[in-house]
Amino acid sequence: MIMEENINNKLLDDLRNLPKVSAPDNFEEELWKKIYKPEEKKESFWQKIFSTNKIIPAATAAAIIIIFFLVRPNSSDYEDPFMIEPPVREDIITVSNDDAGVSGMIEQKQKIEQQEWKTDESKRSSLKKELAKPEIDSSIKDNLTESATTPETLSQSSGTINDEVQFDIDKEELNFLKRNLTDQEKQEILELKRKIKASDTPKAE
Amino acid sequence: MTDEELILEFQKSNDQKAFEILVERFKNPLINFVYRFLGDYEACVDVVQDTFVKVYRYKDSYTSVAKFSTWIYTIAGNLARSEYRRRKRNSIFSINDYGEEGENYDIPDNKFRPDVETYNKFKAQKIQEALMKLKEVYREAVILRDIQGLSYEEIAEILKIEEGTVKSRINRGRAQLQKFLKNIYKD
Repeated sequence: MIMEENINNKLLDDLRNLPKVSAPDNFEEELWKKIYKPEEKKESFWQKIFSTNKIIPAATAAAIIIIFFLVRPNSSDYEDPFMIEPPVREDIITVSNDDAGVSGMIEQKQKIEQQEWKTDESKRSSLKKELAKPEIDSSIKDNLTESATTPETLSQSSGTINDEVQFDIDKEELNFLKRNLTDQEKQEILELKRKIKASDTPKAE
Repeated sequence: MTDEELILEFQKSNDQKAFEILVERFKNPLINFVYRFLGDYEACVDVVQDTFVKVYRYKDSYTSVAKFSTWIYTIAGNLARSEYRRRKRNSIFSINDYGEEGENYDIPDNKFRPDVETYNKFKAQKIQEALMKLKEVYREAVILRDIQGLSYEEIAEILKIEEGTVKSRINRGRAQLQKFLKNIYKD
């Protein structure tokens, strides 16, 4: 209502008094013509798309394209992308490791291990030769041949083996913590410990 | 006979005389309404004829619950809106695109302007031009209320909106109209 008051009354009067537009003289005549004219059926969107005058040329064109690809003269040169074997995941991983130099490192490590193994083998074989001498006790010989590969047995029998053989054994390969000592050896170790303690105490003071 | 009685008569006995009376009663009000909405006389005559064709063919879809005038105005309004949008779509490069708020409209045909003969030529033309600059929804409401003189209730029924919305649209339409015609209505 407030807005209506702001509207110029003259404008409203002019709108009301605008000249009335009337129908032409032949209005009814044209109207009856339209009424008696058969109703035009409006085609829907799908009807327009799939009308016969459009679908036939479209189908023909599609058929020509399909035939062209199926019966091509140089079809042997054509490499079907669907027939190409896809790259294997494993290959991709190997390539990426090579890039990083990991495979090279692995190979180097394997070589080192093989060399170590060979040196060990040569040591063992030399040890066996030494044991094969007649002056060595047969019981020790049996023991060594049975468990030549285990470092524990080698260390147990080290007391009876001569100095040359003892020198050949690599101490790094031996596990001293698991070593089974004889009573005599234990006593010797204890005496050594006491001596060490006795020598350390006056220095600390 | 009332409009409702005539249409019922036409429905029952397919009485062409009843239909002719209805045409005679409503052709000019509808022509006036559609002309003010479209701004093109030839197009408006076509739209009104199409409205009567629909009434003739689909007479049975009218129910006595509503007023006949409301029903026929609804049909005419719908057809006028469709025609306006169709013309708007097809007039992208038209020289008539000089609306202030992006509104496209056609210059009324100056060869046949019934209002020019009887009214102040300049003012009537400016009012029609200003009406065409209004948004569709405001224009329709202002024409039905201020030119056709229909009640708010009737307009609400024709446009299928609430009465409050009708009033709001009319007020906004009038305000915009006054803004467009500020050179004429200075005071």
